[in-house]
Amino acid sequence: MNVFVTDYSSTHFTLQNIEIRSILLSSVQKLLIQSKIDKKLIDGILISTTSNSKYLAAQISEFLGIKSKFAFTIENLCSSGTNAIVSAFAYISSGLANAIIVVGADLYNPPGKIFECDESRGSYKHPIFWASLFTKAYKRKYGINEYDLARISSKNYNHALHNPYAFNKKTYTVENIIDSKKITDDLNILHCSKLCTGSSAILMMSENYAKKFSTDPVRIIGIGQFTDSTFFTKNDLTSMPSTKIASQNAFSMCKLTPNQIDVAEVHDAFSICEIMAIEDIGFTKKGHGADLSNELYQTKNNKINPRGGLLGSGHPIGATGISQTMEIVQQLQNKAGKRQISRANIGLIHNMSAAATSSTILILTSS
Amino acid sequence: MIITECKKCNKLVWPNCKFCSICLEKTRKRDINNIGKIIEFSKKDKTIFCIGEFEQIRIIGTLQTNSNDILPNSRIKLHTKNLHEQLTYFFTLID
Ligand SMILES: [Zn+2]
Repeated sequence: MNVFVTDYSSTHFTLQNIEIRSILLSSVQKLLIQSKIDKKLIDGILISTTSNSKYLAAQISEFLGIKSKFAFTIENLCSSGTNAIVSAFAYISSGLANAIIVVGADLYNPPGKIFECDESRGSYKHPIFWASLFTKAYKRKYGINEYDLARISSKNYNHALHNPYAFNKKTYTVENIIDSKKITDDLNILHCSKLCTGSSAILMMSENYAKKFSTDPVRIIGIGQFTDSTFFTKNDLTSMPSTKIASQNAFSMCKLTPNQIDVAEVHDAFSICEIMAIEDIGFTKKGHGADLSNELYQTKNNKINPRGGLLGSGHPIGATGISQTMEIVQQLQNKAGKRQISRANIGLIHNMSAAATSSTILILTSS
Repeated sequence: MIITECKKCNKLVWPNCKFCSICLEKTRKRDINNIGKIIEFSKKDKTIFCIGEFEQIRIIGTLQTNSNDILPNSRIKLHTKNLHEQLTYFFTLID
């Protein structure tokens, strides 16, 4: 059974210190008003967050007057959002549900910020350490330099200027990125996405419902997910095997190839991640990710990370995968305003967790 | 440093676990060979952090050296310390 995304909403991404419940309510209330859907038709609410607050989906259901059949939280660190979308897809495609709200949120200082359980990281548990080691190893193997990395950051911060919900509101030149504060020998502050407070929500529907209640539904045609380890040091440092396998599975499901993708949001938690992701998804050959990003930067082509990615938009962990999906849906509906990629028909979302030890790929189409 | 090893198939299981991830049999504890090599490193302020590989186990620790002559595959020795109830790893270069 086909599954569609029909509506979406988001809060602004900020450094506001508020209750997780409050920010979840904001995006879901907005979604319900915008979509004009009869609340009686909603079968469930799935929440993606790393927050430790309990029984959130039941609370949101009650406060907004929804009698959910299915209401629970899904947590899988930074890819919680797309994991929740995949769960909603399964409920709808199996016939258990016709309409599900998937909403993600986190605050600027979330429990999911540091993965304490990775004993292989010793006392170096903060993500800046794996990102530095990825960057150093990639530079050593493929000979990229600080300009290659800075162009990615500059590109994505600049894309975010046209995203009304993005945390970043400034333009940065390549030189600004290179001159920004050094975090480690291989990482500047502007190579790091910023944890922030935010919530994004989407409404997913069965084909019957989408035909009845939406004029421009976007269909999810490919899904791939893969978890290859928990512990970062077991990974190759210059590629993301989980992304590679998830992509192959997603492309195989919809019988498409990477060169057919018109627009993509990839998980640029750090600049190096965009290079590795676009290679492992298959947009370019291994070792040529920086060349592709450079070409996009030079030609002002925003087909990769049009909303600004995580670098430009900010990273409210549980909301990220849903915000990425919202962007691709807007692009495919031709409703992305100044960010619009012309004739975008097929879009891809790449969302990952904990140094790419697991990844999710979604492929969507408007046709 | 103590690691676990499968009693049946001898696979190294780390982080330590009571079961083998291949054959699911019980594991036993043993000391790791504390001589290994550098896989990759970077630097935060004056601290060099580095992935070291010992047998097939990879961990991130602090490389204690004044040398600027550090390269992947350099031989290192592993030391551990309990800092704030957390096992912390240190490496020193072997000539
Ligand atoms: Zn075994």
